[in-house]
Amino acid sequence: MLRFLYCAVLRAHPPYFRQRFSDEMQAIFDQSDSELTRAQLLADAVFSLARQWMLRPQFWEEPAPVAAEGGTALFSSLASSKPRTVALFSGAILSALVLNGVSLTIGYAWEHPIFIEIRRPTIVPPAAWKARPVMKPGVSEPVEPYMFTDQGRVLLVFNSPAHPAPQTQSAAKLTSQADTSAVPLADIAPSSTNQIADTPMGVLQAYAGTYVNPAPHGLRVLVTIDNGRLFLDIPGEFRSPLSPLPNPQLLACGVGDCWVMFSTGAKGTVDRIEVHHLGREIVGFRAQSGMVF
Amino acid sequence: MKETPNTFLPLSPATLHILLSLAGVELHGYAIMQEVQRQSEGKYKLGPGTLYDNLQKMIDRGLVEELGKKPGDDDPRRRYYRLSMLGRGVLTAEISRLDDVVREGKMRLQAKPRRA
Repeated sequence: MLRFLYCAVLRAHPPYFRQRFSDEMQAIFDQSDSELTRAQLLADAVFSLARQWMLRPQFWEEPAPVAAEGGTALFSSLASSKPRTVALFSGAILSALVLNGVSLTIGYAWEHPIFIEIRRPTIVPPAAWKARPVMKPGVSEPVEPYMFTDQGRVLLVFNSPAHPAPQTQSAAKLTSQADTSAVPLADIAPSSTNQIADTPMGVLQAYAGTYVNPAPHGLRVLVTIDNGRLFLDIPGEFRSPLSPLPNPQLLACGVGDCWVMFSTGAKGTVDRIEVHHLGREIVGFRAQSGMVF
Repeated sequence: MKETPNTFLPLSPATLHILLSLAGVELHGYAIMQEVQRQSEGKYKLGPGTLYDNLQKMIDRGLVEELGKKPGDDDPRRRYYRLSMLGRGVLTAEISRLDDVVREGKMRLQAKPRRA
């Protein structure tokens, strides 16, 4: 490698100097026996290269022959003074090597690492999200009512007593069709009973009536109006006022783990009730006037 | 105008050592480098670049003659050089100048210092 570089440096010398001395300088280089000496010779050749090109312009070309005294014939070479193609090629290689060397040196000398600060995003939930229902002593951990759709979407419903979340038609439909299991009331936002109390009597009467389970020995469910409020009465079991839930299709009973859903028939009147109580589902159909069960 | 030996004086250390190494014998470049190193007891090392740069100037000014290659040499690339008559005169004049310098220096150093 050093020999190759040394040859390249010698070839880059001015032509006249190169023709006269490059072979001898190459011979001296070949005679050296250690790498250190060769490196020193290479450095010497580089200095010589700079010296010859910058300080010895009179030796770049072969001096013109001076007429001899006495009229003796003289001969001179008519060779072109332009550099040979090989020399130009070698010079290009040498230049590329020197440029790469300088670039590497600069690269190692000035290492300026660039630090890019990537901050982890901080998500601060709204204060309303942090509000959790206060657990009463002795009450088991409430279970959120799970919501889902059949359209590959996740439905997030945030219970808020002040602003009930509007429910889409499909969600309402699914909710009405979906689950027959009981939904615990403990985690459902408490409702204002005044909402039913403020409801016109005509509307309440649309729900009031007797609902009968068609199964043999099926239960009877009574929905009555008392003091402007709807009451659910399952004879022999319990009687409880009904309160609205954020889901307008559902009503909550006053007893634990109980909710009610009414359905309308083809005529648009309420004719079906589902009562979910303690994991039990009671379905009843509205008894027509005059029917005897 | 023809140059006289005194017009070359004083000589640079490299020129002086090269002329001195060629004073008694014809040498090639590598031998000149070794001879210079021997003369200076290793204190002055001449690189090929400096050597041939000085040889070029000395040949151009007629102090040194190039003899060319010698048949039977170990390395056929070697060329031999010798001192020209002008070069010998220049070396003689430089040695004489240096001798005067040495003598003057010794005389000055041996004399007792005088108070102004």
